[in-house]
Amino acid sequence: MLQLNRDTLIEAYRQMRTIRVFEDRLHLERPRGIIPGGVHLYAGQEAVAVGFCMNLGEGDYVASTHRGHGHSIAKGCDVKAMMKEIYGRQGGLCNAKGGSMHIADISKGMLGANGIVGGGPPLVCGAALTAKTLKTGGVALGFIGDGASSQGTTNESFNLAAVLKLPAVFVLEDNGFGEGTPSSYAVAGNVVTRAEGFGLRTYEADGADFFAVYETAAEAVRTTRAGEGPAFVYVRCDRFYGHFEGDAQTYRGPGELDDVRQNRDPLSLFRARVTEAALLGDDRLGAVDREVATLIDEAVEEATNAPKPPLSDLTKDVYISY
Amino acid sequence: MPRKTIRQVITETLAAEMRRDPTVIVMGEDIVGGTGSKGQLDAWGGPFGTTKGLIAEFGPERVIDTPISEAGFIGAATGAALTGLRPVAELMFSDFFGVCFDQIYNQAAKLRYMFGGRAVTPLTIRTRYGAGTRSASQHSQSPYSVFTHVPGLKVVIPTSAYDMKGLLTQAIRDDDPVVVFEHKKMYDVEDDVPDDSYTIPFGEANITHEGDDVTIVAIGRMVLFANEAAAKLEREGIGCTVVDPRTTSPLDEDTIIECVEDTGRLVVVDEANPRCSVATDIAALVASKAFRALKAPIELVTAPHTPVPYAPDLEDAYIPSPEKIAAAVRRVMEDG
Amino acid sequence: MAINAVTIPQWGMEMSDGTITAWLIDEGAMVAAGDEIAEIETTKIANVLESPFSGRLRRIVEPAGKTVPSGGLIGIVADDADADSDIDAFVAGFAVRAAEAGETNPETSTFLDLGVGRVHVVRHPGDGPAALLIHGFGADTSTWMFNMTALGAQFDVVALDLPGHGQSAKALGPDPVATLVDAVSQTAAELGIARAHLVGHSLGALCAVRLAQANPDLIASLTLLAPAGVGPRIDDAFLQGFVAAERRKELRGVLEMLVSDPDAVTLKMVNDVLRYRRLEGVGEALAALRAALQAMPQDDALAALKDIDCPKQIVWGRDDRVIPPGDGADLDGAPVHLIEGAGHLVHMEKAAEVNRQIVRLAGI
Repeated sequence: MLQLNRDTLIEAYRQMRTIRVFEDRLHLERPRGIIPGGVHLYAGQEAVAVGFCMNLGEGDYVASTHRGHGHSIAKGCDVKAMMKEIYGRQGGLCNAKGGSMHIADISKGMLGANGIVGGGPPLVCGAALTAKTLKTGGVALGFIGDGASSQGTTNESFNLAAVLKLPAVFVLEDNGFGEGTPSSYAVAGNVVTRAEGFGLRTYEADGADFFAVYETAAEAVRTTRAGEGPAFVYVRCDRFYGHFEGDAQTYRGPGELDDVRQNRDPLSLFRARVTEAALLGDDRLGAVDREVATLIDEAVEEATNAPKPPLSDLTKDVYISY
Repeated sequence: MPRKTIRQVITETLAAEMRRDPTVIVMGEDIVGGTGSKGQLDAWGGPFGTTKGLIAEFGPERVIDTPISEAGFIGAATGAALTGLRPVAELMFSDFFGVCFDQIYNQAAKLRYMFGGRAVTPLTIRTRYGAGTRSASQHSQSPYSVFTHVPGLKVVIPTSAYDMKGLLTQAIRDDDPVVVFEHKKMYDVEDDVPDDSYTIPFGEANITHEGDDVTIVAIGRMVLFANEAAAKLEREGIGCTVVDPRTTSPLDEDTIIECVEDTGRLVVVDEANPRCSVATDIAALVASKAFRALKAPIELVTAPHTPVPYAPDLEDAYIPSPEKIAAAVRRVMEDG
Repeated sequence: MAINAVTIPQWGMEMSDGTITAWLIDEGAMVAAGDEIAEIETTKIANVLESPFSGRLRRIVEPAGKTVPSGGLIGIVADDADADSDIDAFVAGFAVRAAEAGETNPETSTFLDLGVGRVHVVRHPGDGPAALLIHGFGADTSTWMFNMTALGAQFDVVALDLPGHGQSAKALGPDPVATLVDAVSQTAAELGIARAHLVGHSLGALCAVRLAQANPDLIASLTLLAPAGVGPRIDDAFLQGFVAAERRKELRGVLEMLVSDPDAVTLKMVNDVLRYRRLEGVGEALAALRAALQAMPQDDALAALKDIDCPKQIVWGRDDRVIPPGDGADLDGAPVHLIEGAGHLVHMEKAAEVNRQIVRLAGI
């Protein structure tokens, strides 16, 4: 098992727990009708976002998908500002102009969730091109879903990254479904050999196993940063909630969701591993749980009470100058 | 004052801006030509020679031949702009926007707004438009109205070598995403162009001919045709003011309105298809803001609602001509 | 036979044609050389055409409203003795003869690499003594478009674009006005001009005085047009407006301050100045000049003028709003000629009169 020190373990747990509670809370709050827009929840996939982002630094960029809360939190976006954004209030991370699907913080290297499936990979090539041209030593990492694997943009980005030898890492989170259709149906052939076909170095990891993800991520990022060209990582994981909030997931087979929650929960698997190996105790983990609960409570409270943006914001920031 | 062609001016401007700012890079299909081959590098320097010589001065890190993946590299240019570069990407023919429009429409144009003003996207896309080269439907269109429609984009259509230098310089230095349209048939058009750098602000129309009777607003290459028509009409005793908006987004509404208020008559000339075009946009603007100044209905001289045909006579009939423009002017003169 | 062709003149290097806006005398009327006979409009600005000949205006060949290329025939001045048939033949043959003569504009444009940097120079070579023309703030050699040909008949005319202006280098260095003065003296030296009749307009007049002060042997005569530095300051609203102007409308407002009749400011004039204003380095140069002028004592050149020992004169437009002329009293030994109906661009608005004054002072 990978040797991680205590602080790293606590940090990993904290981040995953924050994502989980954030998403669970949105699931609860949405039916109340205060949150104006749709959300696509990441619960169940936390180990992937955290495992990768813990291997990135300030000068590195990530791009995400419509299911972007987890990547945003893992890359260091402000949780309370994110909540305000989802609630459409002043103080939102995007000043209430983007909502859940366009959450971003360029200053933290988060190039945004994206409402267009496959919208991220070309932007990732761009950020990698910047890193290469300005010799920053940075890498750009694009999270994509199985749904994006056959988009033209995704495949063009693989080719482009390989041709231009860009420091880009593409992480495909196969959670089994592209919206309501299983990846086993919609993805022909094998996504790993597809990436190999473009000349990318490929890796695989089990998305429910934080340690496996972290170790694979470290290697993929290290080699990419060292100039070995772009990399592709295939991660098998599971989402607990529907494609979007309100999706009854009737496309799942009987007992499938129960099995996922029971056996494929990265948080319980992490907890079990660290307590069994006596790396962290339940007390310590419980303390993190309580801190995270407080944070999310406060975030919801503040977001609920935050003022709506003024109407004059409608026409702001279309251009820098016009 | 040196004489330069539009082609020369484009190369000169790219080089000047790349010298001035190390974050400016140039990318696109065959903008060098020959990358990775055993033959001549810079074989093409762009399909119309507009980027020739740049790689010799700036090297392959800043002058990049891309594979044929518009979505990939236009998106990459967007991402690069977002993160500290100032890319000038070439979309070889504007007709190809179909394969990369999401990157322009949903990404580049909207990032600043969606991210609450916390993103800067200093992207320039150079692209080509216009009929007249017998290249038929998929290589001859003028889709600038589509881009003009999109909030967050700026659209620039220079009509002279002097204007190209000032507007392209401004486009590169501008921190918003800008699409610059180059007419395929105008690369050899010459003008007096200073060696010094200069910018022309967006949203400032140019008046290329003055007259008291009719205002002609023309787009792109049609400005040249409108000037021809105006010179001929002047000899017939009809005075035309020709307005070249230079940029359709932002649009110099004030100059257009003022000129119509002076003359009372408007003819709009646009080689694009007529539905939902820049021509209809300008006509609606004038009809709503200068209605009482109008002495006659507005005339639009445009292409027909067809794709661009191949056979030369058919293509020539598709493109508005100085004769068609003059006929429209005579009609509005008779009409009120 | 004394059949004389009245033609559209060549005013400035860029002029290719002129529009006859009005004939000022009727066909058949007598005319003396120097009489104003037609108003001609160029794309840049309008001017009055004086008859080069005395006689009768026997034929108006082109009517008002017509646009004719430079050198094109517009009228015939002849004696009463000349037969109509001879005049017909002359008119018919004119275009052929003009083409055969192959007349070209004698003006030349060159670039000199001097200590102050690259300087653009326009010359109208002639047999007479050298005349050195120095333009003002924000202008260039094209300001002399109505003076070059007329003066070229009597002088070897040299006009330069001052540093920061026209096609000359834009950097002015730490002492902007000194750089302008140096540019003139270096130009004269480079062209082998040991002695010249100096004509300066506005800020250019200030430079001319400074040059005369430093280099008295160079100066044969001194004509100061709407001069800066001998009386009131250049109106700062003008300077400030010019520095700040970024768009055509703003600039038009500034340029209209320069002339007696605002309608005289044409679109081409505004566009030409706008093109200059937008060149890299121009904004900084003009701002630096404005600051230098503000820091300078108001009548910095007046005392120097008194000590300059050569024929001197000041010519001012009565309607000058940029440097108001006051009552027109003579200034310290330099006679002041006030011209009616002219603003700050007196040498353009009343070119013929100004040209006459320059020639007269030179004693030619």
